[in-house]
Amino acid sequence: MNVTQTIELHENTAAIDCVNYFTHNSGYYFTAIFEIVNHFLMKRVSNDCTPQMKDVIHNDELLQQLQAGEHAALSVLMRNHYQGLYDYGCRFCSCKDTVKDAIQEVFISLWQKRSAAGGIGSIRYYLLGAVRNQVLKSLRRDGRVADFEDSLQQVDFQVDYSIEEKLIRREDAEQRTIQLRRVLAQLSPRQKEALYLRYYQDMDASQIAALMQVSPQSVYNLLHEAIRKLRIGWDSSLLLRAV
Amino acid sequence: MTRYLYYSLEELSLDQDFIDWVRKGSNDSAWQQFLEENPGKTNIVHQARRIVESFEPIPFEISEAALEAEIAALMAATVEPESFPAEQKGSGLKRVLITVMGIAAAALLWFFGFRNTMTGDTELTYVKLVAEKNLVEQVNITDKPVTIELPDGSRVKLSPQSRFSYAAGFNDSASRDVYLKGEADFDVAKNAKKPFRVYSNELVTKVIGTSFTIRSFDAEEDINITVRTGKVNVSRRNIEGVSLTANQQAIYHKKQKNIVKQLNERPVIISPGVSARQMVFEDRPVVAVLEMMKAAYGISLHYEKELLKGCTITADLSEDGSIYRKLDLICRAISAEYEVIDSEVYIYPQGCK
Repeated sequence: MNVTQTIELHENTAAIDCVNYFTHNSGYYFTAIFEIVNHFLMKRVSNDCTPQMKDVIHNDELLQQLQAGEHAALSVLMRNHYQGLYDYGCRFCSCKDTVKDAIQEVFISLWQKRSAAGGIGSIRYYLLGAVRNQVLKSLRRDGRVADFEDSLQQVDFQVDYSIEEKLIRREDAEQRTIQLRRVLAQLSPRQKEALYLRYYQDMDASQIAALMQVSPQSVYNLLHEAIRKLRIGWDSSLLLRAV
Repeated sequence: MTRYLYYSLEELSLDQDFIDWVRKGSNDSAWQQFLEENPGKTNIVHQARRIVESFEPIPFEISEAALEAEIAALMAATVEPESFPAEQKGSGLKRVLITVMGIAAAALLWFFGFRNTMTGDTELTYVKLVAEKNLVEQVNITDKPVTIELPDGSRVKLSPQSRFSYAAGFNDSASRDVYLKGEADFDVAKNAKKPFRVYSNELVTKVIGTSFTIRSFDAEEDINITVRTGKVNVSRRNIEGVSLTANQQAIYHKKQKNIVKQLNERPVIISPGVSARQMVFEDRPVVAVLEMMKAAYGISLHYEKELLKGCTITADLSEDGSIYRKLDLICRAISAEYEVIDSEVYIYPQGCK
């Protein structure tokens, strides 16, 4: 009820319809065809919901089910988030099995602590942080990273770039690709991580700060310095001749 | 949108709405309008756009099979026998829906089971692939191709006697997986975040956004994948695959279990900047003509530049002939020979005198 009342103050009636629909109907998909029905319902109201709202509601719904002890919700959560978590985890080491184990542990622990699942604000942010910690913990345990506070400095953040064709015109493509790679290679591991979280995991600056365990000011610096490097790289080598 | 008038390049490059526009095309009309109304901002918007686009990591991906295994492991590790489902309640609408879905699922199961016993093992692979997944299926029983529009905007032209399915929650899942039996033309909407994968028997064809055709009938000995634009990767389950670009095709021999990459039987001009009509040459350097062919068809064309230095050609290649006919004409004019090895063309000139 509170939710409905608060939101009615909003001007966006479509958003209210969307939220009402879900608050009044939340919480009881228990059958095996959960996903089909859910998708169908989503589709019915999809015109009224922005994609972000849809995601938020979908995730909130799943967390409520998880809290209620619904085992199937756990598998849906893993299916929805696995690719993003795996991609993030693999950037800290060339150790796919370590990353898979870490993800397993995170979801097992999520299940064990499910009674508190309702308190998780953004599940994506929660999972990214948990996987990051778990992977780094494994790396320390295996002695691949020294176990002291600023040890993160040594952890790489691996990014192989796919240089988009649209960025590079056909003639002298090779030379430009080399130049762009050179610019990208100047980014430090933590700059790459911050930019990756911003561009590919849709994290905002405060979430990035919490994930990387640094101050918001540091994140601001990391991101702006990264953009500045890319800009200078483009300016000096490419921008003048670009399409 | 007016706030963007005061944004620096850095701020713009890090703005969520801007990133969504660049990466997903969100709210495109508003941005186009902003650019039209503020031509002074064109430069900064383009620079910021290029910065966002240039940071494009190649994703680490996990196969569908491996993901299923991980989910199964998680479910096994967290199962609690003493838990039982809570009381089920639901609105009238939802009950009806669940019933309808239930009936549909039962009908689908019966259909597959029935078909399977009728036709023996022939459908096993497709049936195996789609088993226990919540899929929407389309079967083309007409004698004309049927066009299917997927929730992500991709288009699939399904040939007669072919079946095609995709996840019921297509837009909500991490990747775009579809299953094919028979033949279909694909025009895949670009989304670098969600690779589009076509499972056809034991082959997996992976793309980001491009157009191509797959022909995979159980009765035929080969599976054939032909690329029209963009890049695709074809692999057998868990085995390193081959990459194809425009005008290339992969043929998978089911018996030998190997994938062969070759030039498409009828390569077409793929470069938007070149049309067949432009291919009338008068006293033009041969090297320039060959480079134009290379760009027009997007093929690999190898030759010794030194040997063709100073050679010129006068030829009319504007006719709608095949690339092979054009290569014939060029080679005859410069008394050279050519051969096609796999997907690449090699020209052996003898100098022009």
